[in-house]
Amino acid sequence: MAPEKRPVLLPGEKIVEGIAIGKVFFIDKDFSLIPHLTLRGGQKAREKERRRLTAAVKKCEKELVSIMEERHLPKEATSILEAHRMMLVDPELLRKIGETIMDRAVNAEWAVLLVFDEMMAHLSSSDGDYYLRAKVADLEVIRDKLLFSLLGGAGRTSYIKDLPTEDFVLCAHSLTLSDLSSLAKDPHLRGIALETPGGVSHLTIVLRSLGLPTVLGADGLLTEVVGCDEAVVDGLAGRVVLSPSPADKSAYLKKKQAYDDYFDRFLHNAGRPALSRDGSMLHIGANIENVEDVEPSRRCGADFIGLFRTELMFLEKGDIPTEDDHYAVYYEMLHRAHPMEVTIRVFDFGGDKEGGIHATGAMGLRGIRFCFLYPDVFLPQVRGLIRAASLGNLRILLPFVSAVDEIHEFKAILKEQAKELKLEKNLRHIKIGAMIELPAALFIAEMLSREVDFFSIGTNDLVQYLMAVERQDKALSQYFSHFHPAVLRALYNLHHIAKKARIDLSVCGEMGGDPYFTLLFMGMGIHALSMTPLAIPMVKNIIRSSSVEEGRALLNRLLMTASEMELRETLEKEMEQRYPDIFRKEWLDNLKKNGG
Amino acid sequence: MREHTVTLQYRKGIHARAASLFAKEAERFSSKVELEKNGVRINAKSITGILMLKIPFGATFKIIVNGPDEDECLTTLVQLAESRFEEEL
Repeated sequence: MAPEKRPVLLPGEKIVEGIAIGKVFFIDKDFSLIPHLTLRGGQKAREKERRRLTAAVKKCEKELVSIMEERHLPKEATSILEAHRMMLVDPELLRKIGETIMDRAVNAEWAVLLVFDEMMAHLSSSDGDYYLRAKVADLEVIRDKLLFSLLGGAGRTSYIKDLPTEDFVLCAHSLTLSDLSSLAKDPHLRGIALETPGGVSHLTIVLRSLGLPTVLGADGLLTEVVGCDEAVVDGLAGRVVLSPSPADKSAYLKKKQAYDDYFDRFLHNAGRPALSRDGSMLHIGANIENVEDVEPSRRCGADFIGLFRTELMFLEKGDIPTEDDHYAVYYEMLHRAHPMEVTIRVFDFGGDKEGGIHATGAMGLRGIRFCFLYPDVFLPQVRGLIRAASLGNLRILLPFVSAVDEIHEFKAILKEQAKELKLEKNLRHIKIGAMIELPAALFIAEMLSREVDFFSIGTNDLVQYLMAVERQDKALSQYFSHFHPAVLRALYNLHHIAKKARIDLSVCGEMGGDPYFTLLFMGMGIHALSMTPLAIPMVKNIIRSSSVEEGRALLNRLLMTASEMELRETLEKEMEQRYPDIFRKEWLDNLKKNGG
Repeated sequence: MREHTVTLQYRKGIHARAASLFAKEAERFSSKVELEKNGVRINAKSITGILMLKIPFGATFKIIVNGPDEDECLTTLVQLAESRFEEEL
């Protein structure tokens, strides 16, 4: 009866290259996946739902109050949160939801949906109210908070069920990291398309590490996807094709095959060392999130673990990990990665990262600052690290460093905890590094270099703070570019400082794995890069077919470039001409588009 | 019981923050406080109630107070509705 759906093409931002074809599985924003239960068992069951509601409200209120108290928020933000708190505990609202539970015999989640639907419909019927969206958005926030709390916080993922038993692509507005980590375990998941913009959020980082073809920022996806059976996620061109025609589909299958072959060819050689034609060796590291990522990284050719992000431990536990939790994870990590060096970054909570605790946005209370402020979170991690240190090659990386004092303080904490654990002997196995990602750290890099064993350049944050542009800001994305000459010059200076101090330096973040920069890094004399595992095979390939001498010549040409656009265009042209095999024409458009 | 009809001077209309300010002010008094617009009457101590009344810029609505401190209460709320939001928000 429903007419055959016509193919729909939605442009988006490619996050992970590759092609995925499969059944559509979509998570609707309208919460159709939230349990809608009719209550049996009379008065008693309804009373129980009412009590659940009251408890959820209390929990939400407590959370809001603690955010307001703990963070030093601007006045405007506090007044919004206060308005949300008042809405949440509004007796009229609670009475309405309570009545809905009692009168209609529905579970608390359903009652919340019903009452909010009614309120939002009422608001939306007002004509010509310019500020309507904001009001509806406020209600949405409260509704989602309540639902989240009712569904038990971390246990929320349980509402994603009935996954297809054949290959599928996931379509949704956005995903929480916990949803994603449970979905990622499904063997039939082939690709991901989301409406939410990419940028450099934690979600994007995790999506990259999954390595499934992914497109973000596909506006209109949820409207168009209704009634679609199949979809293609084209992570090469950066688009989603819903209900592809048979001709489209077979073309995509061909393209998929071609890309998979192309990638496999590099993967095949990935185990070979990254030795340049003129005999210079580079070490290529993997950025990972999970202990399970170690083997795939090795297969991609990783020489070391350049960045192990520890924030996900929080998510998985849903609470503050204990010393033993930390120890267990680090033990496993060092054991599996042996004899590779493992760089473990201590907690770095940013605005876009979820966890059991609140941290402020991009500015302010992040990284090592956060760690110092919350010893109950940080000390178990430090102790876990000390205990695991004798098991392998451990490097501890401190994020968000802006002062030499912070290194001193960390060393003091390390010493004190080791003494308490009677494990002082383990300290000699530990190397300590500073993440260079703040402009302040750039300018005191020389002083920092005397205090640490290595530098790791966090290019994503560095670009963000050098350019004063928030990572997720789609409107300003042209400013978020690692092709800006300031970034290149910062790296160039840092390399010289590290070299003079004879400490290691590695480039992390997206720039490290961007194949357009590989030759420049070689020219600078940088010996270590760390990247998402899937980028390793290609980068290694470039290194093996180039010489440091070529890199130096290219660097000398580009170092005096003042314009971002000129630098980008020259570099792109140069690399595409040199390595037509890697920067293949048919895939170039999207590479370029996402260069910045 | 006392009542007064006011015209909202706040350009953004009564949104969540404005409603929270209004409900908070109303809450300070022991009098019963209600708002009425287009024949719909709500409890002004409830922020969702105020929001549901949908009061845009320039709209007129009635403030109705009833109780021991109704005089002071009415003066405060009328003042708030007619001017103070701009400074507060």
